[in-house]
Amino acid sequence: MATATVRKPYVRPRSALWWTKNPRYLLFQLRELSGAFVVLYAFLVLWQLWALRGGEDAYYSFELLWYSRPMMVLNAIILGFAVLHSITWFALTAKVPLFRIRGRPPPAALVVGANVAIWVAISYAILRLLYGGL
Amino acid sequence: MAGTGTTRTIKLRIKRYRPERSDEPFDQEFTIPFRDDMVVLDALNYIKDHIDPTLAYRWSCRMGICGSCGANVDGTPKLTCALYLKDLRKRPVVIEPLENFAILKDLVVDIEPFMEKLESVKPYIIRPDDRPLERGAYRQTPEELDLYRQQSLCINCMLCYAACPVYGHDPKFLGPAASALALRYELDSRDKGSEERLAAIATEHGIWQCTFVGECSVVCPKNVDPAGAIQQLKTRAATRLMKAMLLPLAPR
Amino acid sequence: MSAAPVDRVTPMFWGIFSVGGFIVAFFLPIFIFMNSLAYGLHLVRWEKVQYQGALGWIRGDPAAAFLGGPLAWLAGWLPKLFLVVVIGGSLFHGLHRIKYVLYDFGLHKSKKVLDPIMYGIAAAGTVAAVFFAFSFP
Repeated sequence: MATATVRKPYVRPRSALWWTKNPRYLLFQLRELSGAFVVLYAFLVLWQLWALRGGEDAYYSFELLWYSRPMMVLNAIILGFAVLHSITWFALTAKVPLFRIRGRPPPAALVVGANVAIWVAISYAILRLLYGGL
Repeated sequence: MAGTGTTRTIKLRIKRYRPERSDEPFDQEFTIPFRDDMVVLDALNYIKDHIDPTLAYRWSCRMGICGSCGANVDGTPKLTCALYLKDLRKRPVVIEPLENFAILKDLVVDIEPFMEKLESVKPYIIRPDDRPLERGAYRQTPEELDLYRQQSLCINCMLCYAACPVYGHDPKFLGPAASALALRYELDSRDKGSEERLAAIATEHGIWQCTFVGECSVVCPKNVDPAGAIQQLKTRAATRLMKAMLLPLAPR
Repeated sequence: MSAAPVDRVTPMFWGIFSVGGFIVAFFLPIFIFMNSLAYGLHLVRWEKVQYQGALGWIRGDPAAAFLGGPLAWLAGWLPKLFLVVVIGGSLFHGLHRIKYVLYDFGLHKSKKVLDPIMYGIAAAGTVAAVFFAFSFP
């Protein structure tokens, strides 16, 4: 026996860019990033309410910014992330079966489809009820 | 190996590690004869038999049931016995030890912490009232068996841990396989140990660390779906806690 | 392996995160669309989004028109509750997610400092939402 056994476990350093290694990891990071955009929108709405409390002139100045092109672009991006959240959320909730059909959890497509239908229905209800339609 | 005309060959690059020789792993390339019916494990065995007998790696059943032969092949955790060389596009084929585990030697990783995690979820039937042997076995219908069948198929291959980025940054994380094992007992009609078991896994490094990346379920060779299992456990644990807080006197 | 203490705090915030996720998924897209984009896309008239129109919205005028009769009293509550739920849900859901992203970047070691900050911001924002929303008639 030339050399004695040496135990020296090697721990590999973990890359901060691990999420670039495959498309599912990337989708996961985007999904988590949607959380940041949703928080941003909450603060934007708080700002909006603050401006509304400030009276007519304050709110008018606010709206000049709110409906400016850069703001529209930002809000479109936020909406994109919100929709990404919705779609991925429906897919995730499909993994926790709330009921079983003949002993098996319902097929994922059925759950996601039902969620999308409910989403459309609720959106329409909000549109009619809170906004009085378009 | 006598060839008629040209023998096809394939090049592999293996991440090796000899602790007595160096502090760091190193890559070594091998070119071996290649047939369509070869899996990655066959390549490793060929290298060990004909080129370098010091190559160290785990394997046993060579048919995808023992869970021994896990490795990262071209960046993805795989069972080397279940992956055909002909299905791999990259050259050289890159074989590395299972990601997120400490390397002991070559492709052999330290699985001791994993074993401890399996034990920590109390993977046995827990009942306050153990029936005497004479009363016979606890009976279970095929439908009751079906409820936990999926989670019972885990072969402890640890591919899910190699895929999990949370385990990647927190080695104390309970992880997918151990959690699926916990659910297997949760869903077993014979088990009455929910409270004990959930207490064991709903801890700081337990199921709450999971952020539902879902890659564990993608790489699982047995379709155990550990990601879904953890979400079910979270729901159970949270529901239990709510019930305990809102209805403290109700029977558990 | 000795048993670690049962974590009662995390499941509570996970539960709030889950409810928040539900709220964000179903309520937020239409709200963003109507609140930020509809006017710019010429789908809504200026009179609806300018100061008096905004006040009317938060007062529940469209809702009152829709409900009518015995349920009209509810109309004033609906837009305000909607705002609180959407803002609160977005904050608790999003900050929980951001927290875990920060954990992933190595901040899980500062858990005891990071957690109260994140949930503190969420709580503060929700309180502000209640205060602002209900400060209107």
